[in-house]
Amino acid sequence: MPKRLNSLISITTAAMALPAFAASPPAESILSITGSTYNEESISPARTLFGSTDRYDIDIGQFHLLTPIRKDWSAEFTATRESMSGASPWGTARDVNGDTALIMSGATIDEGRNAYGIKINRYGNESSYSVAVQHSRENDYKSKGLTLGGQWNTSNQMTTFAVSANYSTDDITPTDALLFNRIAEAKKNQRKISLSVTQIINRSSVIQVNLGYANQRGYLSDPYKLRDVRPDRKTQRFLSSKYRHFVEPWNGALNLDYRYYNDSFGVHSQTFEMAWHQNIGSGFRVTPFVRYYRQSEAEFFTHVDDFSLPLTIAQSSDHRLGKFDANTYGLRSEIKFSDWKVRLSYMQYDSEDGPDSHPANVNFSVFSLGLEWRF
Amino acid sequence: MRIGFLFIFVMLLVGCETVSPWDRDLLAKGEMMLIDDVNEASLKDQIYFSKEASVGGASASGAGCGCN
Repeated sequence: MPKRLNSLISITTAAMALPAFAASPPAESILSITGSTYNEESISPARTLFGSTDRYDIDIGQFHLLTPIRKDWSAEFTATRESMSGASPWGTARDVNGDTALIMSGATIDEGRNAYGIKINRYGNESSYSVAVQHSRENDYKSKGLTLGGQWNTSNQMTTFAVSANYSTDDITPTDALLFNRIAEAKKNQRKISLSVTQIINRSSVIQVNLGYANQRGYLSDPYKLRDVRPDRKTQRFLSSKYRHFVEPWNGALNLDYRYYNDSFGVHSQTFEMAWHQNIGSGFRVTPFVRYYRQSEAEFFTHVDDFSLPLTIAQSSDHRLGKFDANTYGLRSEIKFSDWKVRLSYMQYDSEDGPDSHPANVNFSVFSLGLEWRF
Repeated sequence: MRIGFLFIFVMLLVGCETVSPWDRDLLAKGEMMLIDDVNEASLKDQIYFSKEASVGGASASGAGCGCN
């Protein structure tokens, strides 16, 4: 079964503990349920040497509940179920024209992932603290995480300082290890810390700056690739910002996000996101959004796998470690009535496409339907 | 770039004006939240994580995966 071995622990982001502004106990419970369907475009047969050209389709169900449990306490429960099928790249080689072509997994695969999380929040007069645990399980991948967070407000409630620390550990047991000479069992772990400052600028503007650092150790290669050798240590750093500005005459809000990222593999990236929330009446909102992403390639990235190199030399033809640009655009709508909200969204992601681009660069679309109930 | 980034942030701080709690109606709107929809933020984080080399800076929760 084709599987990539990049861990998502970082999504157990320390930012989990970061509030919108100053955290306060919820006055009511909020239940959110979302169903999404994710579809990747097929790979061009002209750039595929072997295997299926049909890539991943994923159905995703999400559950989130935030509820007060005592005075000054609250709890959050999250659950996610993913069902996926499709093929993924095993490696690359030269075709008869000398161009890079893909070696894909042969058969369509079916698998699932279940993830759960619990977070407990404790609120003080000008501070709050949280502890969260996360668990994710697939047939060949298990992950456990713990996150601790704290935030402190200035006395005028204009500024919030927050810190969050996360530790996670993953167990990897690739399928068909003997059949394909894959590693039978491996581990990896990650430590991450995040610091943020959220500042109210005026009655219609707020900004947050976030600084993060993560350290990964263990098996960081992809056991499902034909040849993928990565260093067993990786450090990641990012600096990001979120800006929100409400434009009263237009009854709408501008959201701007930016992130700079780099890591010890040599990847640098920049991400810009912009959304405009347009209120129409008192219960309807439409939000068009765009995102631009650009990354450089890892120091050991190669367009074509080189099987003559010893296994001690790092190399990977994983397109996600290569240089590329990607654009995302979409539309989101929200209808509110009484204690209910219904959300519909669609987004399209397009990677750079051209004769020199990696043949595995992906285009996909996501459609989501969400329901929120406050009680 | 990072210096410029911090410079802009500091300039914004310098330009801050105190906002009374009873004058924060606009800031309390859903579209002004740094995370408006937890499920959407979590889903986007996971999708981008599994398709790009970069992580962090967004705000969602979850556990690790061998995402493809």
